[in-house]
Amino acid sequence: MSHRKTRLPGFGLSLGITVFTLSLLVLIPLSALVTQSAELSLGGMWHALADRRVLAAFRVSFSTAFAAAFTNVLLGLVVAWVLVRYPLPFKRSLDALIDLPFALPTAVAGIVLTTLYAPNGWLGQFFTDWGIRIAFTPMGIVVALIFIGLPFVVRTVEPVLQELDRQQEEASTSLGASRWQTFYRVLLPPLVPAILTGFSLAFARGLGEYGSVIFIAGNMPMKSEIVPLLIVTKLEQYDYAGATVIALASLVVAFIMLLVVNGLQHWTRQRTGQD
Amino acid sequence: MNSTPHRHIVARPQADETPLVRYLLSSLAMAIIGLFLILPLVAVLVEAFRDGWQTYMTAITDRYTRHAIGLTLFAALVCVPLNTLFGVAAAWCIARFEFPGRSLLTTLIDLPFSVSPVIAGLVFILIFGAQGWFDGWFAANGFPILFALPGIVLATMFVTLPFVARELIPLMQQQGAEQEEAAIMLGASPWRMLWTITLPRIKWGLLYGVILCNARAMGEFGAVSVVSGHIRGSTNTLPLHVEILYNEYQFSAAFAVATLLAGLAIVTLIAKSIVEWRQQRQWESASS
Amino acid sequence: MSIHVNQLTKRYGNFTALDDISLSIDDGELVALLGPSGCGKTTLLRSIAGMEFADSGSILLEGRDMTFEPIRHRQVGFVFQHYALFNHMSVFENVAYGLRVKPRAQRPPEAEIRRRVHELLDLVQLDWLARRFPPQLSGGQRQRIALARALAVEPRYLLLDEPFGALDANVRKELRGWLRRLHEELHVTSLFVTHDQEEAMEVASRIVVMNHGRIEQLGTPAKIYDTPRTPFVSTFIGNVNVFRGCVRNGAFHSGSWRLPLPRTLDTLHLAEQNAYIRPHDIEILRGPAADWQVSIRHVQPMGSRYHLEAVPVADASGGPGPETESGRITIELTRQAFKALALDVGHRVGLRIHHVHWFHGAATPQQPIDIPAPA
Ligand SMILES: Nc1ncnc2c1ncn2[C@@H]1O[C@H](COP(=O)(O)OP(=O)(O)OP(=O)(O)O)[C@@H](O)[C@H]1O
Ligand SMILES: [Mg+2]
Repeated sequence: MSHRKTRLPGFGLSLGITVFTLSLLVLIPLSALVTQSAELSLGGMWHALADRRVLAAFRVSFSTAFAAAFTNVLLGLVVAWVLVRYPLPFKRSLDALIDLPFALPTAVAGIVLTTLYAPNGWLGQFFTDWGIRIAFTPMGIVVALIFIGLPFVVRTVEPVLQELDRQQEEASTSLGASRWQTFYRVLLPPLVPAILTGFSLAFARGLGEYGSVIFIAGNMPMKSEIVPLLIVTKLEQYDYAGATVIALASLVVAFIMLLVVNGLQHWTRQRTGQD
Repeated sequence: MNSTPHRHIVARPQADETPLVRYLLSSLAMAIIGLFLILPLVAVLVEAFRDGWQTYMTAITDRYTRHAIGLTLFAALVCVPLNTLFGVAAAWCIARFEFPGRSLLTTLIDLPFSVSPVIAGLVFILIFGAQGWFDGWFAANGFPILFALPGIVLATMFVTLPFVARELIPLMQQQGAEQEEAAIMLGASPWRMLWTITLPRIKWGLLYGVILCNARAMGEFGAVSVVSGHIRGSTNTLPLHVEILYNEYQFSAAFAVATLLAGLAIVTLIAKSIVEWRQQRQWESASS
Repeated sequence: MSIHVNQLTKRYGNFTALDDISLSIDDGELVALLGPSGCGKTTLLRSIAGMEFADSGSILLEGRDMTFEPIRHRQVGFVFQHYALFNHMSVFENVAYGLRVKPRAQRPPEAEIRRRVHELLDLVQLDWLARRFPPQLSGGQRQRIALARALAVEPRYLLLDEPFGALDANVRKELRGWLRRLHEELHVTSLFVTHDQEEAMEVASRIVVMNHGRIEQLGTPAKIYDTPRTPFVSTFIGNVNVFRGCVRNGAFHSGSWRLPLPRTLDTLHLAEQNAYIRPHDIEILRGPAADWQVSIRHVQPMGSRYHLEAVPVADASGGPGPETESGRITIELTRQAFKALALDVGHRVGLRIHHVHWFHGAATPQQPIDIPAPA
């Protein structure tokens, strides 16, 4: 719809409420983050960040968030594909259930996943037989993040999959392409931007996730300690400066990641002629 | 959190994959849903009743649990209406007017979603805590913000701020301004226009946003955990209470309390589906 | 209840949507605003209604400057291009809306509201639909409800933005006549937008022709058709053949063709000049009498009239014939004339031009030039 400059009422009031609330709740608090870390010298910041434990936490957070987001793409594609294309019993309910990770408080997710994947847990015991430990290792973090991020890919891919033109597939098949060739030459390309969006949303969420991870992670410094937990630990030790610097760094890094993904998305959109 | 409320699932029986591939894919999808979504729900219930009905009832009627329920409800009761007001105001100015900085504003509204909840809590400590901007001034003057109710409310508002606005902005943009303009030209006051035209037209989208906002407000853990101080019987919300019980190895009690939150999640999903369905129906009738 | 627009200018960035528009509409007039898509019709209408701020200029309603008056006090009824009916309200409630939202002191009692709404629904002949909702109506029905809704508050001015734009030809025709009668009955000062010239000619007492944010011409339908002020108006209103050429030695020359002009223009010299000739200002002569020879390529019966398309035939001197913009000449005949001439595709006939007009600075004639009969 067109955006005409109208003389509808309420512009001043609504803009006022919006800017006021945003400033009070988001802008001023986030700028506190910047000013507080500015109190540290650059050397101080570097010192706080270059700490081995901090670096290890970043490594754990990034690698687990990445692994989980990547897994989410694979699982999400399968689920979205089946939900859109195949007849299934209880399809409506199953589809509604996809949003469970959004609706279930993360603390609940955390304790229940821990219980399931603990070495003697419902699922964990089978892995134990194979000598694999999931809970209390980085694997546990990945499992929690997969749970948290599952809806993102499904929900971004689903609408695109529905819009796809069936005729293109039929054309491809009639030209002699196998089903698999049709999938990765005709169906996959238009899905790529949606997949990237889903991936970046899941990844960003995974980087910041706290509640569901801390129960299952084991939280061993250098091994399975994530960045948000490290921030909390620093806070509990009243090391506000340290917490602030780490928080700021993770914000900056997350922001850069988002920029990269956005750029990538723009690029694929252009290449696939969408948008 | 998905911004596509008009989804509808069309069965496409003419899929070309071989039956074997279809069977395998369907089973895989069912396995994923079963393993990651259904099993955890079942596990919550089973674990909650592991030590019997008696323990369950004791856990959820416990004094501290009751207090946590009250606190969680209270926080949601404050946050959700405020964020609804914010969401409607933000959507109104962004979807109905052109002004410099509009896209910046849209980006800022989404910002809380890309910030870790832990950082959301941290920033309020930096402002209100000892060593912070106000250096504990509020606390010293008998109005503590951190480790108290206001801090919980603030942190919850931060993390739930975008929910309503995000639903409404695309909806109102897509609806266009003409009906509101028509109302004004027919002589309606701004207030009348809001109540008789704007709100009735966005009610399902609004409700959708409110449902999601409420679920998150009641379930928020990270941000609240940082600012609350975990004072049992005082600043403990339900999710924090679950954590405390769990860390004290009162597993059954923890899961008992968790069933309340899982119930909330189920109610949320059902309500969400109903709203989605209504919204789609309204959409279809409007575009027929 | 007059509308005066004074030197109104409106820009979007560096695009000028309205360029120094001045316009007066008298009490009780029905004026059509005609122009191609994107020329600023909607913008002008919205500015008059107060929905848009102009960059400069003013709008006077009944002599009073309304620039800073709240929209609600303008008493303008507006019918939107896409109706903008309230989908969540019944037809009845849509029409009653303007009455219900009046300040309490002016609000009529419920019984009076009912009476007025039913009266209006009767007027638009849709009383039987009162309990339906807008999505359950056809386009033409929605259109009439939108009009009834705008009329309910007894506006002093009625602005209609392409009221029949989204309807099919038959419904358009029907509603057109209906709007005309409605206006005769109510006499509200009305301005309606259209980009259909036929509609404008049929309904309006005066027409405003716009292009690129400017007013090209303002006048009665007959005046605009007979004496267009600019080439744009000439081509936009009705059909016209455009001949490229020049004027010298008392004649208009196009290619190898020569059209003698009245004696009074003997001294006129125009190096490059297009001549505009309406299809019905061309007469067909059987036999080799006329200078202008053409061959008929296409015959299109249009009911009471016939449209012919013809291409020039090389003349006796072997010249290339006239240069027209389309390469073809359109001729319009009455049914009788066509039958009398017994024409068919492939026939070679002669042409005689009765009127021509052109546009060239001060030399632009106010009336079309009568071409003298050959001696
Ligand atoms: N908000 C805006 N920003 C920039 N340009 C605009 C805006 N609104 C309108 N325009 C431009 O102003 C010009 C006039 O628009 P307007 O809607 O008045 O045209 P119109 O004559 O009503 O056309 P139509 O017959 O297609 O409805 C158009 O070229 C349009 O692109
Ligand atoms: Mg228009």
